[in-house]
This record gives sequence, structure tokens and C-alpha cells, in this order.
Amino acid sequence: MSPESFDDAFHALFVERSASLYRYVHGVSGDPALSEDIVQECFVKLHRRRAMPDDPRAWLVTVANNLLRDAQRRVVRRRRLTSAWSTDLPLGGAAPQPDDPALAAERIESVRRALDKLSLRDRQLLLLRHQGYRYQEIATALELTRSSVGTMLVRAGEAFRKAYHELFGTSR
Amino acid sequence: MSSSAHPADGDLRALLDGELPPAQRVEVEQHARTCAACRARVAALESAAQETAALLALLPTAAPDLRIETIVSRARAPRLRWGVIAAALALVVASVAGATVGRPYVRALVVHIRAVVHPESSAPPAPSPARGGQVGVAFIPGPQADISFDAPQSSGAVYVSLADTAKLVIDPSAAVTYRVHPGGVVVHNVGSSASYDIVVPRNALHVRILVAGRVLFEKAGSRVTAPAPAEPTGRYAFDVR
Repeated sequence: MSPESFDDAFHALFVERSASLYRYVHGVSGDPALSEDIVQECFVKLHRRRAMPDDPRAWLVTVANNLLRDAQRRVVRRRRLTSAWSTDLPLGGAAPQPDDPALAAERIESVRRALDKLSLRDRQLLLLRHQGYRYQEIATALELTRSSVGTMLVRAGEAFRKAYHELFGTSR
Repeated sequence: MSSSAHPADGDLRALLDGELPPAQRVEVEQHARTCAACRARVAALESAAQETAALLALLPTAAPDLRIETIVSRARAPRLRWGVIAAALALVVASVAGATVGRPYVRALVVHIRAVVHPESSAPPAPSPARGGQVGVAFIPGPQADISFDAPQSSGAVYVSLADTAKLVIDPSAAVTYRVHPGGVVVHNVGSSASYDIVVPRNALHVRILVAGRVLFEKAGSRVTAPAPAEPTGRYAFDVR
């Protein structure tokens, strides 16, 4: 790949995936500042590579997951990831807002906490699919077989909804 | 799957997501046409997937304004190594001691640091015109760091990049001598036509570049004043005049 074509491909990938990758990392970690750092670092690593991987979208997710894992090792000591979320609630972008703002905040926090109750693998699966990643990309990034992704998505979804309803209740 | 066996939930979910391989999709669809239980299961899985998606859509969607220029600039900046940190710290000590020990000692150390800061393997992929393999200097800037050129040059340019590093690096294209002091560096460039790659730590509080006492470039906090706007890569380029 010539330097020019790499730069063009890099630019296109950045435009296409940076926001989506951020939302994925943010969904997994709940920490906006950490997520921004990780996304930047992913693209810095790609730029230093000076060659596009076979599956660039999956490659970015793999690098992001490795950086997340490193960060979470540090966070286990400081318990920062989950507590950061509550301060992030007012940033809630295009989320539908019920009439009662307090109720809306409670719902969002329940979603966050339900995600936190899942295994990291289940959280990654749900959030990658939610960001539009294909089964093959998910399989590559998480080192799964493509044929197992559907089954794992069903199970992760069930665990997530169960956790959410336990936290938020079903009567509201 | 035989025609009578019910497809697994994972296959039905893959069918809903459009992710089943074509041959398998035909088989599952044929089965579902004649199996009310599987049609009901598909409907339930679809409803569950929609509920999951609706809940996840409550999460914040706003992404920060990530700038590709910042990323490219970071990717091209020399990488920070523990050896560099140790060497830079050593230079700070040496620069203070240099006043009493004398310049030759400091310059010898600078030669060593230059080798640490720019090993061959860490050369950026697209070297700028200033990189010439001459002896440079690196140090951790204090609250204020002045890079003072003794004299204007008839040719030669300064290329300033901001980077997420701890050290300030000056890398000339031709040999010049320096005097390092606690407030920065004096570049003895009289008669030189060298160009200079200068990497300024993004978190440096106050850095100035002066030519014959005249301030050409200044970074105060995040505010940068330069003779010309930054290039698309984020680099500032100007003459040593």
C-alpha cells in the first residue's frame, strides 16, 4: 500500500468508525475520558503501523479491547470506571426522554448498571452488535467462531434484560 | 439440521440479523414456514432484540470531537521511552551542574541523549526536512523554557510540533552548539543554515522560541502564537529570521 493510499484509507476509516468505536468503548467502560483516550490511541497505533490490517474495523476493536483490559486492571484498584458514569448522565445525547427527567436518569442508570452486571464478553457482544458490527467482525475481535455469535448474542441479551428489569422493575 | 429438527435460537437470531449463510438461511426459512413453534420463537427473539436495542439506545450517543490532526501528530512524534525519561532527567541535573563543571561535560551528555531520543528504529515514517542525524538536545522544560537562537539565518527553518511527550527536543539538520541552562537552551547558530525540528510537550506551561532576542513562537498553556498558522498536520513552520 502506498503512503498516499494508506493515508486516504486511514482518513476514511477514522471518519467512518471513530465515533462508533468511542460509543462502544464508552458503553463497555462507562468512562468518557478513558474512552476518548483509548479511541485516540487505537488510531495512533494504526497510523504508526502504516499498513491497513486485513479487517480494519475488527482490528480497531481488538486494540480497543486490549487497552480497555489494561485500563480496567488499573481501575480495579481505584474503582473509577463505574462511579464515573453518574457524572456523565447529563450528556445523554439522542436518548428518548420520558416526561419525568428523574425517571429518565434512573432508566439510563439502570441500563448502565445492568451492563456492568454482565460478563465483559457479554457486554462487548451486545455493544458491538448495537454499533452495527457484523458477526464476522465480532468473532474476529472477540476471538469467537462466527457461528457462535448468534447464540451468544441471545444469551447476553437475556442476561442484560433480566438484570435491567431487576434493577428498574417492570411495573413502571 | 434435518427438516424436522427445530433450528437453534442462535440460528434464528442470525436469521433475524441477516447473518446466516445463504444455504442455511434457505433451510431455516423453509422449516419456519411449516413450524408454528419456530415462527413464534422468531417473533419472541425479534421482540427481545428490539427491547435490548431500545435500552442500549438510552446510553449517551454524543462522541467527542476527535481530531485526526491530533492523532497524526501523536503518531509521528517520537515515542517516550524510560531511557529517554532517565536521560532527560540526567540532563536537567547536568545542566545545573554544567555551570560549574563546564560545557564539554554537558555536550557529551547531550550526544548520548540524542542517541537515546532518536534511535534508528524510532525514526518517523515521513521525516521532515530538518532531520539530518546531527546532534540534538532534549530536556524536560520547567515552568518556562526559552529556546534562544543567537542570530537570524539567511536560510533554514524551524518546524515545531506539539506532542504528548515529557521532553522538549531540538533536532537540527546540521551541527550547531548549545548552552543548556535551567531556563531553556541557547542555540549558537551564527553562520549556520541548519533547519530545526522542535518537539514541544503539549503540557508544557510556557515555551518561547526567540531569534536574536525577538519572540517568534510562544506557547502559553494551550494558546500558541506563531508567525504562520499551523499546517494541516498541526506542525508550525517558520524561518529563523
